[in-house]
Amino acid sequence: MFQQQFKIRNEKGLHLRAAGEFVKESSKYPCDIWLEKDKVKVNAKSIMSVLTLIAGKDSKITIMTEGEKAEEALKNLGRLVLDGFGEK
Amino acid sequence: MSENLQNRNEIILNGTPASPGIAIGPVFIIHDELHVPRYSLAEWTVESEIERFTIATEQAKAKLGEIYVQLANNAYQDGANIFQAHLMMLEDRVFIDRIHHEIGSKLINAEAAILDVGEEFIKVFSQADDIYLREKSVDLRDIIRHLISTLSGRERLDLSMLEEGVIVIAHDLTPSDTVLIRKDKIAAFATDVGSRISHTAILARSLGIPAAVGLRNITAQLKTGDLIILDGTHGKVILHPGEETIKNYQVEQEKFYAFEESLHRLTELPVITLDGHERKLSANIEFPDEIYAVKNHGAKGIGLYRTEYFYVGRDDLPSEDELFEDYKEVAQQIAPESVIIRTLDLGGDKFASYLGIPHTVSSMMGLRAIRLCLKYQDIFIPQLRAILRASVYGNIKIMFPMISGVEELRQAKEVLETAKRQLTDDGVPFDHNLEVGAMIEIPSAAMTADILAKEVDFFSIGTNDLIQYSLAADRANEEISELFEPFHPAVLRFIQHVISAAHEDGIWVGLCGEMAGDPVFTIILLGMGLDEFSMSPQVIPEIKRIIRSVTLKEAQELTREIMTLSTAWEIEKRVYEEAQKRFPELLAWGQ
Repeated sequence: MFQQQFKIRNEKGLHLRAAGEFVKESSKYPCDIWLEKDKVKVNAKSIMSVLTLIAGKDSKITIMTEGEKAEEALKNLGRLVLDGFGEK
Repeated sequence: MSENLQNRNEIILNGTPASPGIAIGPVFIIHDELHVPRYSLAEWTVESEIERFTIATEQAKAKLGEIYVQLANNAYQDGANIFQAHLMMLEDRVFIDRIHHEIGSKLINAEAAILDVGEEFIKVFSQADDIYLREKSVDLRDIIRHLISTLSGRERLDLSMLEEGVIVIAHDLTPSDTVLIRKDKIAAFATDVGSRISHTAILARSLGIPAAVGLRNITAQLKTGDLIILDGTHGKVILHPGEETIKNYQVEQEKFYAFEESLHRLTELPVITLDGHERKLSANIEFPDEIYAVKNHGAKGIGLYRTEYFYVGRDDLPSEDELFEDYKEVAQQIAPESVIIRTLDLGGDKFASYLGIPHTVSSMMGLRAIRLCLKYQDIFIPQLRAILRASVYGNIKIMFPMISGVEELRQAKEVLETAKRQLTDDGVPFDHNLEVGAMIEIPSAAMTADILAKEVDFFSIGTNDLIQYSLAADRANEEISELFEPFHPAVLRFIQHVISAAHEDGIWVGLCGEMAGDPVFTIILLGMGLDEFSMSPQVIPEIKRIIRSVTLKEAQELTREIMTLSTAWEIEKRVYEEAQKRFPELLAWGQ
C-alpha cells in the first residue's frame, strides 16, 4: 500500500469539475484507490464519494493506492492535486 | 382605481421586469419538490426492481445526453457542461451500489431508495461552508428528479398538461426546461429568482412574451390553475385579482397589443426621415439565440455582439474552434446583413477568475478590455483568429473596446495583422476586406476622434462608459447615481465631436449604448448626424417610428437649440417636452 498527504491548492477546492478530473484519472488504474480526509475514507473512483469529502482550498487529503500500478497511480494523482487540477 | 372595487385577496408582487407585455390567465407551476411513491417489496421482486432502476438510469442518461447535444449545438456551453457532470453522477458506481443495497436490504421501491440515498448525499453537500461544493446539492437534486420522474413515467414538466395560454411559474427555469417547453402554448413566465439577463428573461424576450423575474416566493403563493395578472413591462404580478382589476388590465392589454401591432407593422418599412434621409437600426446581442428576436423586430444586422459570455462562468478558456463555430453561426444567420463583433471586454464588472487577476486590479479603470487583451495575447489571438476564420461565412466587422488613444489602436491592429499572417501561413481563408472599428467610450478617445478616424473604418460610441468616465461618476455606485447624467452638456458635446470628426474623415458612426434605444434621445442623436443606432432588438420598432415621423431638419434644429443650454436639467426638460408632445404613448409603454 502506498500513501501520501497533499494540500488542495486551487481556489475552488475539490468542486465538481476538479473531482471529475480526479475520478477520471483514478479510474484509469486497475488498483484500489482511496481518498482520506479527516478520518473519512472514500473510494476515489466515485465522483459522489469524492465530493462528499468537501475538501476546500488548503485542506489536507491523503491518497492511498494498493494493487497493480499503485505507485504510478499515486504519483500521477498527486501531481494532479499539486497542479491544482489545472486551475489557477 | 378605488380601493373598494379591488378584491380584498389581491396580492401584488413586485419583481424585475424581464420582458414587456401583459398576460392574464391561469398559472402552471413547475414544482421542484418531488412526490415520491413509497411502498414495500416482496423479497422475490427485488431483482426486477433493480432491473427497473437500471433501465430508468439508462433512459435518464439518454435524455441528459440528448439535452447535452442540443445545448452544445446551440452553443450553450455552460449549460452543456452541467449536463455532462450530471451524466457522470448517473454513472457513479458508489451511488448506484448504495441504491441497489437500499432496495435489497430495506425492501423498498426504487423511487424511495433513490430519494433516501440522494438525501444522504444532499445532506452532506449542503453542510459545506464552501459555496462551490454546496451548489452540488442542487445538481444532485436535479439528477434525483430526473431519475424518479423517469421511473414513475412522469416528466417534471408534463407538456401534455400545458393548456394553451398558461403562465408558467417556477422557482427558476433551467436550460433543460426551456429546451423542452412548447413555446407556442405559453402566455408568460414568472420566476422566484433571476434578473434581466437570466435565462428565463432572455428566452421570454426572444419569444416576445411577457415575463417578470425575481418575484422571491411566487411559487409558494400559488397553485396550478390559479388566475393571475402578469405585467412584464413593470415586473409586477397580481395574485387573485378582482373583477375590476382584471377589467382594467384587459384595457391595458388591448392598448399594449395595439401599440405592439402598430410597431410590428413597421418591421418591413425602411428607417427613413420624413425628408428622405435613411438611417440604420441594428441590434445589440449577447447570445446567439437572440438572433430570432433580431430578425423579428426588423433590425438591420447586429451593431454589437458582446463576446464575454463564452469566457465567464467557466473554469477554462474557450478554444479557438469553439469561438469560431459560434461566430460562424451568427454570421450565417444574420447574412446578408452584417454583425459587428466586439473583441473581449473582460475585466471591470465582467471578471473571469481563471485569468488569475485579482479583482482590485481589474477595476472599471484598470486592466480590462483591450488593455487586458494586449497584455495577454494568448487570450486575444485565438479570438481574433476565430473572428477572421468566421468572416468568410458572412459579413463580419470587428471592433476594439476601451481604446484610449491612437497608439493603443495601432497595437490592436498590429495583433490583428499577426493573426492574419498566421492564417495566411496556415492557408486558412478569411475576409481580407474585414472592416475594423474602434469603440469610443473614453474621453481621451472622443477628444482625439479626428486622429483615430484615420486608422479605422468606423466608430461605435459606447455611451454607458463614456458618461461614467467623462463625469467621473461610477455607474454602479448608488450614492452618486444622480451624477450619472446622460444629458450633461459635456456628454452631448463629446458625442457631437466624435460624429463630426468621423464624418470629416468620411467614416461612419454608430452608437451602441443605452442611449441608442431610449426614445428621448432619438431626435437629438439623429440631429447630431448619427449613422447607426444599435440597441436591444425589442426597442427597434419604437425608435424606427420616431425616426420616420420627423424630418432631419427639425432634428437638427432641436439639437442646435439644446446644445446652447447650460445644464443637464434644462436639456432633459426640453427634450422630454418635445418627446411628450410627439410620442406620448412611447414614453408610457417604452421599455
